[in-house]
Parts: sequence; structure tokens; C-alpha cells
Amino acid sequence: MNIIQTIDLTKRYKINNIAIDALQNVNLKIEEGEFVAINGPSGSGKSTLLHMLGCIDRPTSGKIYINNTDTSTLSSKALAKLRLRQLGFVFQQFHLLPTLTAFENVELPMREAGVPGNKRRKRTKSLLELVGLGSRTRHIPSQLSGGEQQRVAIARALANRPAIVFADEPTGELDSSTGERILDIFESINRKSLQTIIIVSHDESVTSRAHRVIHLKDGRIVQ
Amino acid sequence: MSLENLRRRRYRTLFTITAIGIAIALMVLLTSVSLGLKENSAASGSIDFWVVPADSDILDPVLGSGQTMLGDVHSEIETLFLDPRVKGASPVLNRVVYAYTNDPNKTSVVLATGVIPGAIDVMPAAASGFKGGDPYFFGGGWTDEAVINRQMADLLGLDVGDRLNLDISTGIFASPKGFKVVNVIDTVDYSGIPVIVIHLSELQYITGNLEGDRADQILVEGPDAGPLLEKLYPDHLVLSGSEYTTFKIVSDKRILATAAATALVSFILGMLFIGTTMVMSVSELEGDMAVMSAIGISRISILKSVFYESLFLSAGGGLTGVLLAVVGNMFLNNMLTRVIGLNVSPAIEPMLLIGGFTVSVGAGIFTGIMVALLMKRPDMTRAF
Repeated sequence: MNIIQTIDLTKRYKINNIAIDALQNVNLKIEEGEFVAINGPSGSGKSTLLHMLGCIDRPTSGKIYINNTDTSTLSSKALAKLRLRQLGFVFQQFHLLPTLTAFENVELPMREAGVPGNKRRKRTKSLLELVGLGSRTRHIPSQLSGGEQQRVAIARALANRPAIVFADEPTGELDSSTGERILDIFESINRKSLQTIIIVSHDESVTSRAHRVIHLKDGRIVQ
Repeated sequence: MSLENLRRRRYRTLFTITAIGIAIALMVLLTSVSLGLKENSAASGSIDFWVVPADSDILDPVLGSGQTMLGDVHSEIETLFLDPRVKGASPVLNRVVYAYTNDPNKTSVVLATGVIPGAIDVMPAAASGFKGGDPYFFGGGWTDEAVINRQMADLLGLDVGDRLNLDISTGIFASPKGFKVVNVIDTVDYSGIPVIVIHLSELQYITGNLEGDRADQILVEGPDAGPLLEKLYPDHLVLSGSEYTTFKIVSDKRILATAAATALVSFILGMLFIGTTMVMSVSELEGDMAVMSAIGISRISILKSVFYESLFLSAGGGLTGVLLAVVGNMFLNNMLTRVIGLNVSPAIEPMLLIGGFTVSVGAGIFTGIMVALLMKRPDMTRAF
């Protein structure tokens, strides 16, 4: 079953009145439970594609279906709800909220989703244990290493049991062994929970673990 | 999260709260001083109700002397005491009189207050040294008893046991009556101007109000006495503590103008301080807001956190303002008493403190809503 499908997805930016097609007629299908890597040279449209698939930005034309829902028909509020409940995000620079502890950062999406307190705390604890940070729950991001912050970010992305987890260069800021550990976590999530993982990366070690690699060039899928 | 954000930028938060606090404290102090200068205190303490004629200027003993007064006040008090809800009650007559010790050509203008001593448990009616009740009115002798405050004692160089004369006119129309000082009130929360307190009927005699048994107001102790007073005095104003303060402010255009102007300035200053902090905060948190939006936190939740931040700042500023006002009032009175022998605002009315806090929180709510409304939708792609 396709969890994501795009039809003639196009994104056009205007810079100084010059139109630039960041994505051109991208047709893509991703199956539920796939581990997909998107790569390509700088400016190829990888991040733009991730923004589109993650409902962060709207396409200029074309359609995106997530779980058979045409996202172009959804309001900003409905898209926020979709991102909260069905999509998880892991960013290159971790982007944890600096004033909140690891525990509070992971708890935040569940709090927004209205998960009851007891259930929320239990899940937060188990997620932090899952990423190996059961003993660092009360630390704020500045007290954690880069690898630890990224693991908290993964736990946050998994908070509401999303069907799809998007990661943008998740190992880009980490040393290779820490990066491997992060990828192990993604692989394990994909294998155990059958969650779809879509990672944008230049990193060879990422593409080697993916079930499928989508290569972009000049806003088009080339392989 | 809002509290955490404020804690994270603790110096800016502290500065904003202090700045708002100063504005609020100044507002409370200025209004309080206006009230203190105007009101030449009838009483201080926990009075539950004031009964005043509807069109009376209860604050001004000079301008108020030509206004409507209450009549037959002694019998009114006797009627009140028949009801168990009334724990204490006394009529009050305030008049400006001439006072002198030995030389009738060296008079000082002071405020004379007439009360029924012992009839109510608040100053000055509760001052020690007085014979209880109002003997002269009921056919007893002239008591000669006077209680004065420290300002009056200093003005005329009087002490307990000394004698002085009171009159409402000087020169050929003078017919002074002599009094003996039986006590000097030293408490600072009593009136800041020279005051002499005597038995009501004796002041009524001096000022020509004995016939008709007139007074300016009746003070009543007894928190449950409201309905009784409303029933007994349908044509008068029956004011509770907070209503009395409000009445004092709104019944005098000068005080009202001071209160309104200071409240407006404080509101604007509060808005500016909170607004500046919030704009800086929102601009600093743009990245965090983009991340929050990206992970699905709704716009309304983000706006709520901005609004709460503004509310916490204003509440902190309001509380600081109230504390500063109380401390400032004590300092001001202390300083002025030492320098010019006058404490301008004997005590800050609780209503003014509530007003100060409300102005601050109002500024916070207004600014919070404005900042939230003007805030742009965060650019979520910034998170990537």
C-alpha cells in the first residue's frame, strides 16, 4: 500500500522575478514500511521535496497523497494536525527547544495531541529508554552531546507514533560512529514498528542501509 | 514554556518587571498622595460602611461645609445599635477651625473632627483619654476633652494636659471654647495634617450644628450591616470599603484626573516595556516557533505561549508595583514627616493597590493580544 504518492509535483520559486523550478513533475510512490533515502547534489531539490512530502510547504502544482489523503485540499490547521499525528521530523541541527528538558521536548507533541498525563509520561520515558537516554531525561539540550540531542529529537519524532518519519541529514552534524548509532535507531524503528522512514542525505552509510534510494537532479527524479 | 523562556532571559525579565513595577508604584503613590492631601481624615481602621448624604463632598471639610448633612445623628446611632449586626457606629463631623493656645492673635487653622468616643473601635473615636459617649449632648457637662495628633501637637507646641482654644471665627466675632489635651495620637496611619478630635456635640456647638444634630457622615462597623443601612438610609449613599475609595476618587475631579492620567501613563509604559520585551522575545524565538510549527504544534498553542509570557511579565510587574508602592509610601511619609512634619498619604487604600495591579495586567493582556495578532506565521522551512 502506498503511504505517499505524488502526481506531477512541481515547486516553483521566484527569485528577483526569475522563476526557478525546484521540483518538476515529480511522480513518486513510497510504500508503507519502506526505508527510503533521497540524495542528489546541492540544489537538486532534495530539501524542497522533503518540505513538500512533510506538508511543511505547499506545491505550486501537482498533488501529494499521504495515506490516500490529498493534502492540497487541507487547511493550514488540518495540515498541522496531520504533521502532529502522522508525521515525525528529525532535523540536521536537532532543533530541540532549548528551555525544555529532554523529557519535556519528547512530551511536547503528545501534550499538543491531548494525550493524558500518565500515558504521556510513560511513553516519554519508554521512548527515551528506546534511544538509550533513560538516565538523561532531566537534562536540557545544552547539557547533552550532539548525538544525545539527535536521539532526543528521534524520540520526539516518534512521540505520537507517526506513520512516516522524515529526517533531513540526521547524521550531518555528528561524527561517524555517533552517526552509525543514529542510523541503527532508524533501522530498528523501521524494522520493529514498520514505520516508513524517509531520509535526505549525502551520506553513503545512509544510502547503503535504505531499501531504496531516490536520486534527484535539477528537480527531477533521475533514478 | 513561557515561564522557562522568561527564566532563560532573566536579566531582561527582571528589567521589564522592575520598569513596569516603578510605573505602577508611581501611579498608586501619586493617586494616594492626591487622596491623602485632599482627605483630611475622619477615621482610620477597619470601617465596614460609610453613610453619607448623596450630594455631599465627604472629603473636603472646607468645600463640604455647605453641602447636605445628616441630621438627628445621635438618635440615628441609637437606632443602629438596636440591631445586633451593628458592632459599632459613630457620626463624624469635620470642620476647619482656628486654634490657639495663649494669644488669640496667633491662631492656626486646623481640622476639627467630632465623634462619639468609644462608639466605634477605630481611630480617632477609639483614642484613649476620652470619656465614653457624648455627655454634653445628653445634658451632661462640657467635657473640654481633646485628642490631637502629632502634627497638631508640633504645630502648637502642645502636650497631654495642655490647654488650647478653638473657634470658627476670629476678631470681634470670636467666642472661643477651651479644651484640654487628653491624648496625642502618634500612629502614622492617621491623618497627615494637624487634627484635633473632640466630642461630636461640642464641635456641633462650636460650628452651629448642634441644633438639628448634624454630621457629615456615619461610620459603621459590622460586615453584615449593609442591608440594614440600605433600608434605613434609602436616600443616602451607603458605601462599603472599596466603594468608599472609588467614591472618593470619582467624586473629586482633581483626584479622578490624577488617577486617570497616572493609570493611562502606567498602562502605556507597561505596554511599551512588555511590548519591547515581547517583540525581542518573539524575534529571538522565531527559529523555535518554526520548529514547533513543523512538528505540528498549532498556531493557537504558539500564540498562547506568547500571550502567557506577556501575562506573566505584567503580573510580575503589577506585584512589584504594589510592593514598591507600599514601601515607597512608607519612605515618603517617613521622609516628609522628618523634613516638613507632614505625612501626605497616611495609608494606601487597598483599592488603589488592586487598581495598580489591574492596570499592569490589563497592559499585559492588551500587549499580549497585540503581539500575538501581529506575529507572522513562522516559516517552517527555517527548521530544515
